[in-house]
Amino acid sequence: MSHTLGRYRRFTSNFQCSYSVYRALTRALHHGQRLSQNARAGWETVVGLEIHAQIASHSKLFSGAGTQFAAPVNNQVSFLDAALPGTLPVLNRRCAEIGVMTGLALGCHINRESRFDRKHYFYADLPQGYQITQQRQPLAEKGEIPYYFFVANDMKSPTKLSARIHHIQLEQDSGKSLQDPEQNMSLIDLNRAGMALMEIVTEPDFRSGEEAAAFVKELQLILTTIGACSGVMAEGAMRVDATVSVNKVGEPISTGVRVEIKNVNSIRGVAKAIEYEFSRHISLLEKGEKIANETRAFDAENVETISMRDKEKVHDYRFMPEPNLPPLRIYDNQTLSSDLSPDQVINVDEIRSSMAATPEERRLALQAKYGLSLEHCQTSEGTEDFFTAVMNADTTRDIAIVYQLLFSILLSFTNEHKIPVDKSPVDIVKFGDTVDLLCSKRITYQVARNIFHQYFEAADNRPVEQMVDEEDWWIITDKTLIEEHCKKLMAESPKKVKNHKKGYRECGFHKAIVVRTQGRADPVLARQVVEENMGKFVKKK
Amino acid sequence: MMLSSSLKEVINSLRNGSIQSKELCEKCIRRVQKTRELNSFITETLDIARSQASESQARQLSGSSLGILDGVPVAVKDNFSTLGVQTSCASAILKGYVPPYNATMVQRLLDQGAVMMGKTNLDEFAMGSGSLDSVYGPVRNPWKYTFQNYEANKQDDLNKQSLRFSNKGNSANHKNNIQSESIKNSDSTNGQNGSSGIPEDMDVSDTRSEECDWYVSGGSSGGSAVAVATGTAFAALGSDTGGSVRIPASYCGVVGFKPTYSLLSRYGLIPLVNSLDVPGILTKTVDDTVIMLNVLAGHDVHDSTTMTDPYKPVLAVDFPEKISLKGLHIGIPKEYHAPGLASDVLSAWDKAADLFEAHGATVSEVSLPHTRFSIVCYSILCACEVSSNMARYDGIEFGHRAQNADASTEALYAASRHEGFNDVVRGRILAGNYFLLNKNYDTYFIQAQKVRKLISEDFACVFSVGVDVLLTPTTLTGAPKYSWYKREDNRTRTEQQDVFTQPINMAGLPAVSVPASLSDEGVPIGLQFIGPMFSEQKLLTVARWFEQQVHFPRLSLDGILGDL
Repeated sequence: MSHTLGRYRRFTSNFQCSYSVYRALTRALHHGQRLSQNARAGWETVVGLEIHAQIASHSKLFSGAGTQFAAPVNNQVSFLDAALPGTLPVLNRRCAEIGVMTGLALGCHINRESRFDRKHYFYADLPQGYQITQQRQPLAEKGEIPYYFFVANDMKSPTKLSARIHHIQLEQDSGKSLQDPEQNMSLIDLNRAGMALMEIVTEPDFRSGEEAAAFVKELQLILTTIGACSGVMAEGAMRVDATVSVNKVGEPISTGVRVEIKNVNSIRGVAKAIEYEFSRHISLLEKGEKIANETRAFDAENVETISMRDKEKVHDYRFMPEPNLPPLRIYDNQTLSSDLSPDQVINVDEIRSSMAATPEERRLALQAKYGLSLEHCQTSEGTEDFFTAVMNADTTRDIAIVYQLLFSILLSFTNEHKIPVDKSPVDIVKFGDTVDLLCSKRITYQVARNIFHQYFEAADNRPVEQMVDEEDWWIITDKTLIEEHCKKLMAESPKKVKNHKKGYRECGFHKAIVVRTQGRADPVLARQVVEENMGKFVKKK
Repeated sequence: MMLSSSLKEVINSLRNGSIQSKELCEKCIRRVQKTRELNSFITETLDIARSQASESQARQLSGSSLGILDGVPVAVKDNFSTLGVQTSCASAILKGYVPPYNATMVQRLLDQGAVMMGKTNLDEFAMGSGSLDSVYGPVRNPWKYTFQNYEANKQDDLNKQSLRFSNKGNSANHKNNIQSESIKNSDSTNGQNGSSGIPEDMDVSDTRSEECDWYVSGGSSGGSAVAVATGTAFAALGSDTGGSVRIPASYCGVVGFKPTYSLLSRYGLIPLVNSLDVPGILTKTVDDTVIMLNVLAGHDVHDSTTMTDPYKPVLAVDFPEKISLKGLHIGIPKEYHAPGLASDVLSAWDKAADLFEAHGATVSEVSLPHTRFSIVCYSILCACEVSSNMARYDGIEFGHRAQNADASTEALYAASRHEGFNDVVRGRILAGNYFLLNKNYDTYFIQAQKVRKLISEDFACVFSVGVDVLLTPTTLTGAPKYSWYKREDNRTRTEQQDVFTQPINMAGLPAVSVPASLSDEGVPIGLQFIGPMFSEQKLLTVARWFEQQVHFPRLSLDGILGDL
């Protein structure tokens, strides 16, 4: 019980100072301090990311074939995907629109004209012998997105960081190869060949694996929120390549040899792969060895990276403009002329006005509307909608109490049960009723916790008031009753009374009173009664 | 008689009932069989033709029609994909490849009820100007050709014929057998290794008597040009990247039309150079070209480079003699007075210019100063796109896969590609990969694109000052002899042959080669008319006027081969 009380108090104090803490932290963690904070023994790392995100479209980038995950092998393959001679790519408009939407969500400039190029290499799961991509004139460029980084062991105070997006390009995915070394055979599945990818390339703006992972998490949230990508990394819908270099603190950043880690497919993997690489570089550099400029794969099971290709083998992709696709033109309200049919053109203004708000926009809106602190806007899926629904049901509700109950108590249950908040047995009505009992000071927070415990652990389905009534959980505001508890405690522990009065140590009887009333005692009244009987605690110097 | 008719005439005959589809088809089949030694077809689709003709006839009798081409025999160059029929590009790498879909051009013909006689021969992947570098052997020009093998092969053909027709759907394979036999029998120069690998001193001209020599059909759409000239088809599809429709048209005495880039869909046309390729039309007359163009042109959702504006059909000229040339401005590019231009071609060109002037047109000399860079520019752009387009032929999904090369995927690629491509293709792949290397890209590819723009601007400049149509020779000479042609390799000959035709592809312009006269040797000479983008109406009207003025003698084989 005392454990619970402790948690309760910490939340209270945190709630009061969180915003100023955040401000202080962001001021303190400017560039230089970030570096030294993440540096190890005089070394620091610089990381840039390339994220391949599969576009959530029903058909492929240049063909009408389907895009379902785990469809029967070679069952979503058009003539184009199999590279039959004479087939021509036709751009799937939906994919381009999603690309534009993503560019806008990532704060990019949308190029009004972008082009497609062929990138050549021979591989059995690349039937054309080249990938159609956007090497020289990508769809979107020069973006920047804020993301939130939680310093280790402090999950309450996120640091707001920012990463720049170099560009976003549209490109084709490859097929999949399965090696059968025993029979000396490669098996090819072309279902994925030609699916639409966005390659999102960042500037080298990350100083640790954790930062990079936090960015990927934010990116994932953005892409799923706007409906651009399923974000399911386990299905390969988002795959991360990280370029890592390590240099001595004080030397210009990015002077170290760059190593690329390919195809990391979990957020934890991103952090681990980079941290592993950081350590590997340091240990090699400290031995005086050179870092090979190479591509490495991340082995998630053994938490290590493994060299993929011979470092001497330089690939020349022999880029060439794709001659079968006209430039991709994007219009806006100004450039849209009347002779263009609206269903044939992509209008960036139209996309902007119809797209869902990004997570950051929603956070800012919450902050503005309800005065929520940033950490409370750093919400898991559905929390924000839940919060808004509770507030919309009764706008007079005390915001402080609503989010205290939501973030401190309800989320601790949902997190423990690993369910999203909108699947919680405490629905918006039950939650709202609990809030109202708190607001009218008819129950305590500890009782609120007990109520939620009943719903989560005992499959209780009684309405809130009925439960409180039947369990006799109403708040104790009878001063005489509390005084009785206080006198009893004073009689039991004369030593604590002495220490308190002499200013050595606070007696903590107000907490004990709450415990002895199964959490029902009004904590404010309890404190007041203790002070009246014992005097205010003044610490002796 | 019937087989010398134009497309327009045969459409009329079909409409007025003076001939029926099946009878017409049989006549063409007989002609196909009698002209086999010209090697114009890689795959004869005679069984398909018969069933299509039969269906057409049923429609005819019931008074319905699919369209203007209902019942008309046509031929298709073997680089257009045909559903269920081998499409080889005359290359070993695509031997046995049967596409699961029709090229848009083929589909549009079939939608009109056309009867497909077969897939015509070409230079491997359309790389060539002679139709000699085919894995199925060279195409021969019917002009001044002595059908010496016809009588000897007659019995043999009939035997094979029954075999072929009894085995529906398998005609491609049988045809392959026949071809490889005929290669052995009559021409030892071509085979798996490709002709360009044969040393000059081993050339066929040395082992053959001079009388056995024959005229080159021109390429790469040589098979299609020969099919039209010999009457085995009344129209044929070709493809034109640097002159591949106009050159064989010129050598074989037929009309060869290269439309404005983007007017005809390339979907299903196996590419040579995507940014230069256009499907082309080969017919006996300009009117026939107009009929074909109106059937084929217009936007295709499968080809993003086709024009999206609705196609405005070209109106045929019913009374060309009544056309007034007043106000027409004909330009004569001075750079086309090129080295190697034969005197009989020059004379035909001059006469044509005089003819226009005499009938009231303004004829003036114009300059296209960058034309001379076209060949070198083309050789770079072509090699680059070829190296890229050929990357898909790896023997994994389709086409030739080498045997006993399974040490690794790379070994399999190398062996399959080495066996599958001839020297010409391999050479262009190698060059293209070199030009596209990161360190070379600006020097070659970007530079070539700049030059291409200059060539294109030359034309735009000339047309902007009021010139309506340019008049040039199509080729330097009339059809050359095989023995002469083989003295140089494919690259040299292509550079020579394409000189007048290639700049037009660089600029994406429409151009048509119209037979003008016979050379001193008695083989056809064609002249080329070039117009601005989308000027098909005016260009073909001018060509039509010229055609009716010159009364070019149409080739008739009826006397030689006998008409049924």
